[in-house]
Amino acid sequence: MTDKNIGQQEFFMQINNPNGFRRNILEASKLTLSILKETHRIRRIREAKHELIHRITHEIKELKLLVKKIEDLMPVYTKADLKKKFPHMVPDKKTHISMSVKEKKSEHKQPANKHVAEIDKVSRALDEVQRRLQGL
Amino acid sequence: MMSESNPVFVKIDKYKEILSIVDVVNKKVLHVKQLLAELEDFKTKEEEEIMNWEKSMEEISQKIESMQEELSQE
Repeated sequence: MTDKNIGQQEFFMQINNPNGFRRNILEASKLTLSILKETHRIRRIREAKHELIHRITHEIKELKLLVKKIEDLMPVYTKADLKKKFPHMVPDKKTHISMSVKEKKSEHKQPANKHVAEIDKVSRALDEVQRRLQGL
Repeated sequence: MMSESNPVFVKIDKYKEILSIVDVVNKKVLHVKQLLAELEDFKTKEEEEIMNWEKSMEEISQKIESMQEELSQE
């Protein structure tokens, strides 16, 4: 030991409340460890969240395909359009179920409108889901 | 192309297919809604954990501060 080192060792700092100081150190260590534990918990939550997002994305892709399929199944032309486009063609009567014109209208008109409404509803629901997913 | 105001007529087989697809779509929408609710739960849990982090960090900094005060007392 040099004289200089001996000189340094002669100085001490007084800690008035050593127990409180030690308690603070221990509590700070405890909190640090609890933060580490929380880190693991958050990591697990995030993994589960990512897995869920992956599943939702997959479901939405399937929904998009299904909605597209419904759109494809819907006729491109209305009867009026067809009449305009092909005025010489007469609609095939065999395909129609024999009913009065009034009945036909009420039977056919409703499902088509119902479908359009359903498709709109589903499309709106899909948009909402996507918006919520983007917000996350 | 189809003018929107005019009614359209769907073949009965296509109509049935559309109905079944709409049914599947509705079930899927419900499922996705459930998954989103789960996601919301995870999000809430994550936020709670982060809040706990902040709280713990605040407590640690208070303790360090008081230790510093203790050390700087003459």
